[in-house]
Amino acid sequence: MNTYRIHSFCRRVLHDPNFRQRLLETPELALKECTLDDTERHALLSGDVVSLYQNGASAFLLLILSRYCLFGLELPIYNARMRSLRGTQTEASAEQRDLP
Amino acid sequence: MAEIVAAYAVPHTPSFIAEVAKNGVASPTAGFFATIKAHLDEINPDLLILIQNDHFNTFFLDNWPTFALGIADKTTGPSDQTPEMPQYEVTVAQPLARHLLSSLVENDFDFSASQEFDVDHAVLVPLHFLTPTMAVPIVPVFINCLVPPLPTARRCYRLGSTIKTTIEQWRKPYRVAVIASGSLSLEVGGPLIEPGKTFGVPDPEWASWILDTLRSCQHNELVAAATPERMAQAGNVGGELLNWIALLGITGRREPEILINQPELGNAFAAWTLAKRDEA
Repeated sequence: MNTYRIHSFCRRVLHDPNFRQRLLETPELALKECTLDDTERHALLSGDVVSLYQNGASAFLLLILSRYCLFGLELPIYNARMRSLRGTQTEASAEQRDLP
Repeated sequence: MAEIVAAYAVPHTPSFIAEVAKNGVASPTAGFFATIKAHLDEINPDLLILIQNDHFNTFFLDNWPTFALGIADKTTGPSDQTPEMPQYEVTVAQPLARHLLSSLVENDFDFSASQEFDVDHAVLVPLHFLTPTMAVPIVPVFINCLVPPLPTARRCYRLGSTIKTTIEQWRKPYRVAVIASGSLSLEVGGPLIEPGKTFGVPDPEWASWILDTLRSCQHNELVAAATPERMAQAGNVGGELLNWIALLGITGRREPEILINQPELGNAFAAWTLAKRDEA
């Protein structure tokens, strides 16, 4: 997984309201505007913040997806998925990540 | 000669804007900021330096600075859709910004400089509460508190003391105040968030110990303890402590006049007077 692409995507969500709207209305179509591989596209479309985080994506930036309820990531769902990582190896190695 | 007349440290929690708008004077946060604002109003500085960290808004990972100065003639924000915050335009104290840039590079701090930039909540949450008319020109100093490798605490402390020295060598009659912003323990969006929330405070004891070192002026102990690993234990934005540490390099070993703990949010508020107004 190329985390820079995921991070750039999250940043665009925050700063480009038209793109955000397209993602809410037709997520699969809107994602075709982005350079992503199949794994990255699938993880985003399924709101799989666990695998995105485990593969090194920044939680700080992933939270943007929940802020705008993209990919079914309303806060209770985002919160539960992210909290499921507590005490796991991923959390233990957090300081080794590229980004928080 | 210019001088630094006061120093402040405050949080920059984005949700404060909407929370205070909703709860007014009943909000403890409103009261804490009002206490700091009263001190700042009394000091009445000519210029403000903001020591803070960008959150992937002013800069991004295509070109991420360890230390940066904003040297445009003005800036705008918030650039990150901070809920309910008005859009502000703030004058940048460009002569001061350029003085800092040349002096800091001369003193071995290799700063990046941006001549066109906007700012996010790290600059504007403090200003929204402390100088809401935006009448005092600012210089934003950006420290990388988020993206490893972070600058060391030792270097940030020395950055603060160098800023103080270079201001005192500036042949202008300005009275400058410094505001640092950031949390002491905070997780945003990561596994350590609290149930149902976007954030968590993983290490309130660390935050409390930091405040103890401020009271006792044990800056050396704090700088030694603030390793990247230790700050990361306090949350994924625990590195924002570096903004506070740079400020301590400016205040030197002197106890804050005001120190307010907000442990439930991993935050604190502090104020130091560094020179008497009539000495200016």
